Amino acid sequence: MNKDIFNQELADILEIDFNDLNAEIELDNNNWNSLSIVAIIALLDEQFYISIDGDKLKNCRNVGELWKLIDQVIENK
Amino acid sequence: MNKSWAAIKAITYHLPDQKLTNEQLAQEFQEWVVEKIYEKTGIAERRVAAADECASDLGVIAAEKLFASGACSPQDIDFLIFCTQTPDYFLPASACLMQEKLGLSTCCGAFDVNLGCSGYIYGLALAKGLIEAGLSQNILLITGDTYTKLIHPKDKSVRTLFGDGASATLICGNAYKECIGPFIFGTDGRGAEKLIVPAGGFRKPLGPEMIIEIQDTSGNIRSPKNLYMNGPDILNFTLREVPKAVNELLLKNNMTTNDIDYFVFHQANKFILESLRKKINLPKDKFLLNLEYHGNTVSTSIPLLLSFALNNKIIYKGNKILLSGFGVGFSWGACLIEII
Repeated sequence: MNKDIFNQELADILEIDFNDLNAEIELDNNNWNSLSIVAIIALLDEQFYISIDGDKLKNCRNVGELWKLIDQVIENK
Repeated sequence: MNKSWAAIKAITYHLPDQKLTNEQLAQEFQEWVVEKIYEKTGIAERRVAAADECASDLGVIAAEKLFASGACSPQDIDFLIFCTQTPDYFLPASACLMQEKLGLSTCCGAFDVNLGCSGYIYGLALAKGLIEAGLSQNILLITGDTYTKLIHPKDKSVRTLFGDGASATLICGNAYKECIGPFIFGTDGRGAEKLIVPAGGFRKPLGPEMIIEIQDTSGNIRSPKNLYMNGPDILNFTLREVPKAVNELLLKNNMTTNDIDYFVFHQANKFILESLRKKINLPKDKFLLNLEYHGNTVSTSIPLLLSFALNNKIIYKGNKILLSGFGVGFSWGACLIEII
């Protein structure tokens, strides 16, 4: 449930259509700046009760890497 | 002898004249849109001190407004606490210069406190301590900063947020009940490098290599003598520590959020404040926002908002208010106050 909400919001942050969201989407080409990273941090806290360093988020190249990073942090919680 | 409690008696503020608007920022940074800056930060304009205007000058004017209001006279003050991170000199303390400018008695104690966004909470704690230990009767707590002087003009990450300003609070020791406190404090020096001016102190004295300008991956330019802020990690810290501190404070006082009339948090930016409000589950009408016309004024943001809300009859005397300051250090604090 939280993942659906997260992905809806993620699509909004990246300014793409929710139906177009997939692991291959390149973050650098899609609004991946400090404002969007700050928005992701707030979203991760709200939906999954986790926090991830800004630099780690910034280093994700695509949505797939972002999802993987989030899953890892949730697992290690 | 009956115990005398410390209480806030009056709060004033002063902002410099010069403005930096979103329109000006959008002109300088072509990739920014005026509406977007406002939507994310809640800030429409910031105030900028003049080249020859120091934080202590702004603080002196704020204090003069307090004296002019009739709250007390300069001779009544027996302690001056100045909270700043942008002093006139390495030494002497700016508070000593301000004692002279304000015409305070030479019997008055005066010192500076080097804290940023948490500074007002710590200033209130110091004032309460001095008064309730019987060391002082009437304390002038001044906050003031000119962060804009530390910011590189091509660093939009901080230029968008910070504005200059100062406040003056009169704290007197003649209340019949506890009006300031209890408090929660917190410090985590692991966050020191997340909001910092790296060069210019004695760890990294100013030399030729300290003024070399570097462009970061977001396109912002700064040198080690400029202010650096890691926004994402500050948000992580804030969301981790502030809700915990607020809940601990309520618990300590056997209160719930329903017992508080207003929540006045450090006005960092709208995004952080809204995230905090949601996480702590505070109703919108009790959570005051006030950064549209001056931005993040560091340790001045809380007293500025209190003064504005009192003047505009949003907050009334007798209201129970929860204050929370958080930021550079990392340092944070929260306390309850009642203005009488």
